[in-house]
Amino acid sequence: MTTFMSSPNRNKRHGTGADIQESPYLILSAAALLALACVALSAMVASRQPWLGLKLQVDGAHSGVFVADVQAQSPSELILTPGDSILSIRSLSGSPFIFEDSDLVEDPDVFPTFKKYNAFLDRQGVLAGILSGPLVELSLADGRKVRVQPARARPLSSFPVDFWLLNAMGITVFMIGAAIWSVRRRNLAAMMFFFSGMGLLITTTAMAVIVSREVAFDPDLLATVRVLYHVGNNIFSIFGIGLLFHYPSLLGSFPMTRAVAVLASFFILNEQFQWTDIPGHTVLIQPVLYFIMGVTIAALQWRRSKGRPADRATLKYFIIAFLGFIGLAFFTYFVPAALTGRTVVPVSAGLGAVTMMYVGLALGILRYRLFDIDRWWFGFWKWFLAGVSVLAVDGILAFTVTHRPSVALALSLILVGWLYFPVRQWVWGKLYQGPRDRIKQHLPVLLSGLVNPGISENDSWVGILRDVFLPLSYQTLEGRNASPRLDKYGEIMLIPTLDRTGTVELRFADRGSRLFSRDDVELAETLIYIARTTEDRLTAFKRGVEKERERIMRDLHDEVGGRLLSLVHASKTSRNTLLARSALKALREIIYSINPAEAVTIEEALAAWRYEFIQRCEDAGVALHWDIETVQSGGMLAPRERVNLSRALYEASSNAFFHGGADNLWVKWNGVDHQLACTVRNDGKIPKPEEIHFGKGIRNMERRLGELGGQFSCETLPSEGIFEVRMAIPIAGDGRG
Amino acid sequence: MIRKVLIVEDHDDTRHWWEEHISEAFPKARAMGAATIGEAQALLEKEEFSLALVDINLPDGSGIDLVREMGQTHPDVYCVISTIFDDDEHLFSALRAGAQGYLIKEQPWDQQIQQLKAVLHGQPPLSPGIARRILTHFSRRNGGQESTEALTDRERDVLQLIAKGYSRPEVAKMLGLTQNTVASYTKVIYQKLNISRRAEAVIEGIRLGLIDPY
Repeated sequence: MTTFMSSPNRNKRHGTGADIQESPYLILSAAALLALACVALSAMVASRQPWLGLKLQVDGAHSGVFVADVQAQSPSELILTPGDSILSIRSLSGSPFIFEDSDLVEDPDVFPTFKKYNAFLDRQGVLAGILSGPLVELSLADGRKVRVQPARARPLSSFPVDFWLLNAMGITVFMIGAAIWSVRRRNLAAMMFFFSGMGLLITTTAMAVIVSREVAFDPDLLATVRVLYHVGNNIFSIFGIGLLFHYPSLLGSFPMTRAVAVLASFFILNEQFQWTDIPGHTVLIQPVLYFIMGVTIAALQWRRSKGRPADRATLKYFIIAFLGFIGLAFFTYFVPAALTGRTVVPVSAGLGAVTMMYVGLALGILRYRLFDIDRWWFGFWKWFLAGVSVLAVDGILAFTVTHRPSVALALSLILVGWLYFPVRQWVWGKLYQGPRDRIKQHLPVLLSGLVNPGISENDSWVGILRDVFLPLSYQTLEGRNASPRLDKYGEIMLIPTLDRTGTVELRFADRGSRLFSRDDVELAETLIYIARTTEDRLTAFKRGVEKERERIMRDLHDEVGGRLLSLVHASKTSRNTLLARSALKALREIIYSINPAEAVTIEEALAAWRYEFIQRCEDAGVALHWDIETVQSGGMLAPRERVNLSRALYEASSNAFFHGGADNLWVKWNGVDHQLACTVRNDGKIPKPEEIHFGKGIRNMERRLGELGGQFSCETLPSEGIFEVRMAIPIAGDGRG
Repeated sequence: MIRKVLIVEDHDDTRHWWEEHISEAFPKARAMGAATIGEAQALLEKEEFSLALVDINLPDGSGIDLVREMGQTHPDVYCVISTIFDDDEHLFSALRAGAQGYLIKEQPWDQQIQQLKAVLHGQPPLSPGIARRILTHFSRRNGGQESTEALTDRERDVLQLIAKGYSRPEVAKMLGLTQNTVASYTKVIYQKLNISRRAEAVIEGIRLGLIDPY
């Protein structure tokens, strides 16, 4: 278990203890104030730009830019209309500035080298200079020249939606981080999470300013805001990677957070002082590097979390959040920006994905519904790999088969549709068992457990649950639970016993390799339903059988027993009396043998036999030597076993008494290795081996033991003056009778 | 001295047989038969019996209930269960109800008479199965309150040995007691069994509000 696992409790203690003076509300209020201050700051900075009231876009058809929209009550209202194409701009005293596509780039990070970025800044400087004048002249593609008076400042109402969106993201992220940290202050993961959120707040604040740029910003201001943007990004990355390195388990003593901080400082300083261009892409190499580091650390964490289901589940949250959203941002924003110099989606969409990731991480730290993660996990990979496969195939086709993006995309969708999805379905079927499959798999266990005689209902239920869920440990608790439920983030599943009086607690599913999930709860619910229905039917059936047996027993007792008793009392000859008496004894034994409640332990049966034998031997004037060598305790004798053995013993001793004229009777018991063996020896008149005739008595003994799957043999030892009868029956060793 | 014996037995042959033969065992005794619990209750009101032989399965109820009732209304009458079944469960219930002994119907006459006399001389029968049940019964009541009900160590020793299948003479020898002492232990154990049942009945009565404890 990691250090962090016990943190919720620890934090609860702190929450009520010494740290009370810094209550969560204070932290949250401070954070909210700071976040609002950032919004105010960004709005203030963003408004300090000359404003025309235009929404400009790169004009695909002509050089220059294209008016997508003209804002109401703006300087350009009634002067320009949407659809106008602007070729150049100039101050009344200056020369025309011809627009280039790069002037309208939303995110200056797309420039791969300092040279290109500086050129962009220079042009921004010129543009800003022109726009700071009282009047500008715009040359349109249709030959018109129009004059507009730029406003000194951009009004709040004209800010683009992205400005507000980015600020909203920043506030959300920062408040989530602050909220978690405020309740888990001693938790390193929560702290790192908070600081990475703070980094994101800086990022969004700076980016909000950048996206609010209509045409041009003062280049110094723009450069400063951009540095801030990167500082935020890097803070986010430092603590994000630090978090992943520390949580769910600490991966080692290497100061990962500091190492990333050093790298991040280099990036920032390099941008500030423009020491050197980094091969590939000076700026966008950063997220790529951080992404690779994140994936590597996640893989290490994955390996480390083996055998720790709670950690593994938390990590799955992280991976879904990380790969899902950062991956999304990575593939949709940074990769196209790095490869083409253009962004495919607005920067707010990319940062939106990062925000979602942040929420995902928060859920992981809070261990929110960890038990559900396995369900989402497969769904996530299905979804993620579908997207990746389309992109990958699209990319391969675009570079190899066709250079027309639309054709490449269509081909890619077709290929993926026909190849990836069937493969995915097949793999999915192999990896994931639906509830119905699981029921099918466990039904035999369930039914054989339920109809297992000799085990109590609750014991067999625990056995079934153990076989189905393979928990690391389990115990039966007192106290009721109406239906199965999860506890401790899915570490524990509580399942009611079938008789509804107790609860079975299972810990960690599949021998401790995973947490319990909602699928398990559903499976348990179905098992309970099947088990209870089966039990009810079985009970009804058993009740019917029992009723019938009682009726037979009553009839035997009243009708047959009564008449036999009359015979005993009425018969004139002792032979008839004896016959009637033995018939009555046989009747009694038959009645016992059909009553399963008459099962007794071997010890009890031995005691009863001994008691009976002492009386009989005393009556017959024979000395009894009763010897129990080893008899394992707990073994049971079913009524039929008891009756048959009883009859066989009776027969053996009768032979000794009446035919052998014995003086001594030795009875020896041995009950080991799932077998109960008995040797009855007597002295007296011993037949020679050839004189043993297999009369009715011996045949009866043989038959009775044969019925029980046992063995019978007899031997005469004239030299020792001993006649020996050996009997053995198989017995269940675990008390199941 | 046994004077009047009540035979509660629905089986005519057996009842007549007892009525005819009882004087062989007790020359001065007279047997009176009842085929149902109702008849038995009527006779009990009219006559003073010193011994009752009661069958378990009777047409209008269980002989065990009759024994229990007689324990309250006629505590001086020796109650002996006479049954065709020798299973521990029935016999144990009968002993709990206050029966001082039991006879198995199909046993030879001389054995039955011998056992009956033993009961009357304070030497009730005790099989291993019954002994085991008595031990279990008292161990369940281990937390029991009244010391008068609890078994003494000696009584427990006797029960344990009998439960293992040792005969009364063997038990006497193993514990260094006389057979009579062992027999008297058995009698006391029976009484305690009955007392414990009555105590339980009182507690149950209080619980159900049938008996006012004050």
